[in-house]
Amino acid sequence: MSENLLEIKDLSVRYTTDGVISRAVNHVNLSLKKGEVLGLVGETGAGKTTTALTLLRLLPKFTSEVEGEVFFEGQNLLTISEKEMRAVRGDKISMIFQDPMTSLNPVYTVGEQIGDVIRFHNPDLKPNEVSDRIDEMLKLVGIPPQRKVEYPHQFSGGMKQRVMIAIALACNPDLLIADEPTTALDVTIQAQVIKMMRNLQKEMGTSVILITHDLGIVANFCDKVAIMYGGEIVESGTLEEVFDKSKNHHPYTNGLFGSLPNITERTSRLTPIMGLTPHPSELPEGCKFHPRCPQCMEQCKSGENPPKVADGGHEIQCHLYAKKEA
Amino acid sequence: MSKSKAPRLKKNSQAAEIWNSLLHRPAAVIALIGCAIILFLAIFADVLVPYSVAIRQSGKIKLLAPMTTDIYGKLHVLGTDDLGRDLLARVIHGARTAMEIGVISTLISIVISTILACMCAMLGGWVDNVIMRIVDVVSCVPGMVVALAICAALGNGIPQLLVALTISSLPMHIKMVRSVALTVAKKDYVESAVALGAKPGYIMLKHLVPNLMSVILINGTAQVSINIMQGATLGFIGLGVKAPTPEWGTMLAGGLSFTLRAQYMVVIPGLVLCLAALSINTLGDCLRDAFDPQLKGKA
Amino acid sequence: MLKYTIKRILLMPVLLLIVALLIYLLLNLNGADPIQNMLPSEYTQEQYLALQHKYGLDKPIIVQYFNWVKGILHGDLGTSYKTRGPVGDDVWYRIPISIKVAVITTAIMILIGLPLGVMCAVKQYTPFDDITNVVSKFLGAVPSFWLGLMFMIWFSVGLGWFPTFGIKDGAKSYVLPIATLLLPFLANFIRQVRSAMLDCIRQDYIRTARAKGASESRVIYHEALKNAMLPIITFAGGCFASMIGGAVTVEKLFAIPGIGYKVVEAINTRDIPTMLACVMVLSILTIVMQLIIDLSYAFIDPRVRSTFVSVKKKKPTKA
Repeated sequence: MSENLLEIKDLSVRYTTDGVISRAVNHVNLSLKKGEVLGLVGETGAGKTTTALTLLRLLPKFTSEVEGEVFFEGQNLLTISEKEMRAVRGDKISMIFQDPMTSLNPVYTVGEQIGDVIRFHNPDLKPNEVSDRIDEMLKLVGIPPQRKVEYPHQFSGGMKQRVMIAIALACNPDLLIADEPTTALDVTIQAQVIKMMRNLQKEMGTSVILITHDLGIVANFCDKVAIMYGGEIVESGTLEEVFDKSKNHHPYTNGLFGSLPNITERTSRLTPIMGLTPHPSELPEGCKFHPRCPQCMEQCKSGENPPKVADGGHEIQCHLYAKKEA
Repeated sequence: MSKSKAPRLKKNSQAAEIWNSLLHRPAAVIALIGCAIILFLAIFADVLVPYSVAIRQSGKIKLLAPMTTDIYGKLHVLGTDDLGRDLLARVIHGARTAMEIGVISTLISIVISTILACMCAMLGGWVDNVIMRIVDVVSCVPGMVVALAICAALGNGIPQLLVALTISSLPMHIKMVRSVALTVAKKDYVESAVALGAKPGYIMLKHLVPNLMSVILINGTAQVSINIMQGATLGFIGLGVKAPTPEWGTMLAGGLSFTLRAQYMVVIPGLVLCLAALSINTLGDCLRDAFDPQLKGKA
Repeated sequence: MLKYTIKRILLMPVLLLIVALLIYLLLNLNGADPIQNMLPSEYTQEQYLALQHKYGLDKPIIVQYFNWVKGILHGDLGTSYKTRGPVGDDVWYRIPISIKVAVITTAIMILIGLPLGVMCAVKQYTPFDDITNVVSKFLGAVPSFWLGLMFMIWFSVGLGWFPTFGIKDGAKSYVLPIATLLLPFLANFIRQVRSAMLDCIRQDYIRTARAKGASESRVIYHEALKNAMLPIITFAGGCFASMIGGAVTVEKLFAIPGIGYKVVEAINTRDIPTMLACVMVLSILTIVMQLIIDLSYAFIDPRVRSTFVSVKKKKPTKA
């Protein structure tokens, strides 16, 4: 077993806006090995993006408060200086954002924007070497290099996301965080982009954290899965473990799968999860999921978090299975 | 129809929400108090000091410094001017003049600009073209010069001043309201109302105007202070209100020749003008913050 | 956009003539007789008619107007009712003074306001931002004629640092007028820069830049500022235009022989040709400024630029 590339230990993030405290991420533990692809799944507001931004220390300075440890290549990212952190961003860890439409600066050419990240981390490169690298990156993501002099508004959404991917991969990062990279795209373009990302990931051996709410993409792309709810990881394991229907699952995971259409079993309607995702400022006591849980028990409604039950690498945070084992 | 009702419902609860959020900002509370004082002075000017005191001239009590008692044993808190008029009375009645000028001209220009802007947005085509070309014509002359020319042509007096200020502020209002109205007119609930055969006038009142309220309120508040300032500027130049009417800008101009002997004559009206403009501006800023929390802290 | 700009340039003379016509009609509205003002208190009917004929005032207003337009086309701005000399001379003498004041004031405004505004945005929620905010709010509410007066009382009369009025003392005599004109504009400019920067700093592409490992100064000055320039330029251009025309009170207060002062003088003396010439000049400057703003938009924003290049795109709805 190789050393973990990334290890998140007991990470919590709180936002304070206008006196209201939002507990966006609560005691999250995650680890990732080199070359692995981790799917971080959950609804909007589950804390996925916050977790990702914490890794890059890109949370708003004045309003957020971070606790815990994030080890990347043995270095705690939360304690290093801002200068050291800048050297990590874009070079060792890079990120692809949800909305390619707004994530590129409208007043610079895409070539300049790809070139920026190359120059930041390789200040010794000559201009023509940077230029070659830009061409190479554009080719890699399937854009003709001569388009590098064009501006973002001349690209379609899918093309912009390719540019974002080119920027993210330009410095051969060890870890790529993709925050819902396809949500803003058309379905057909989604498939293209995901396919391309998977190929590039295989080629370059980059570790990836893929944030999504689309279980289909996870099944296609990931080695490991972590399901987030209310700022916590309620279930985590390998793709096979989490997707295996015969195994025990967190009720929320069951709910997620229940709300997907299934071609092989023709049911009359989908079974959605009742209720709404709680806002991070109004998380319930006890198990965060209990108000919506079909298998809710008395002990779920109060007290601490439910215990984590592990079956090898497969962890579930739920009273249901704790009881069974006891 | 349920779809088209949504924005109205939202707006009604919004009013309470905005009032609440205003009361939670110290700056807004101070600004509200400031505006309330000016309004109070303006409305109850006659109760506080009879108008006759503000225009009564007396050679015997000329140029008294603030806080002096005159030969009749009467205290002049802010002193008297070169014609022996009590400055406090003139400041109070000046508040009435200022509010008349600022509020009425703003109301007129808001009503006209909203109607015209809605017509632009709803009817489009040549109506929009004609209105916007006229706006272009007027807006290529600086607003101050427009007001100057109109005042010069119509002569001194409050009604003339109102016409001048209204016309000079119209182009900007129309442009701003129109740009918002255009986006609102493209919204689904307006299009569904059109599809349901609603008359333009109905759509305007029912859908456009409620959604324009925020931009109208914010711009309107700012315009009140701009117009008070413009009115005072015109008064300072000698093109504002008619002679005995107490008006801050005119008072200041009157004190010019006594700048050295009686500084309070130019300091006081200017200071009052500043504080009034400051309160109204701050209220406008806070309103903007309250309407759109996203813009919080913006200018 | 190109079409729109060309249309605008072509429309300019037409706009100006309409403005002139409106002013012609407006100033003739109150029926003051300029001839009477020009004559000595006792005059004969012949003298009156001769003078009226000399200035072409015996013709209907519309004809007067067309004669004036004809004169303009020949480069003749008309004859002043007051000085009885050509208006052109007076106006050409004053324009450089007004433009000089406005250019210097705008330049100082940008030099001080831009860095201050950017700093406020960067240091949002800090005392620096709060203090700048409060100060600029106060300055923004001060009427310039009063501010000028206070400056006069303190610095000219009290301390004797600067001359009270006129421009005879060279650069020194411009300090107070420019400071008076500058402060309220500067206050609003800082607020404008700050809000434009805050707008841009909130954008997603700023987060992208940070994620790329850009330094904070690069994020602010390279990524955000260029985007924020659009509203900033618009505002600065507007300031420049209103400084030329709106310096009326400051010019009057400090007796600066600029174009704004002349407008007031012309209005007070019913000197229609001078008034018209001044308004024409002010309008031309305003329109030219607007054009410069439009073009600088294209220079900064590739989205606007591309609409300049390909005319087939729809013209912007915003006028």
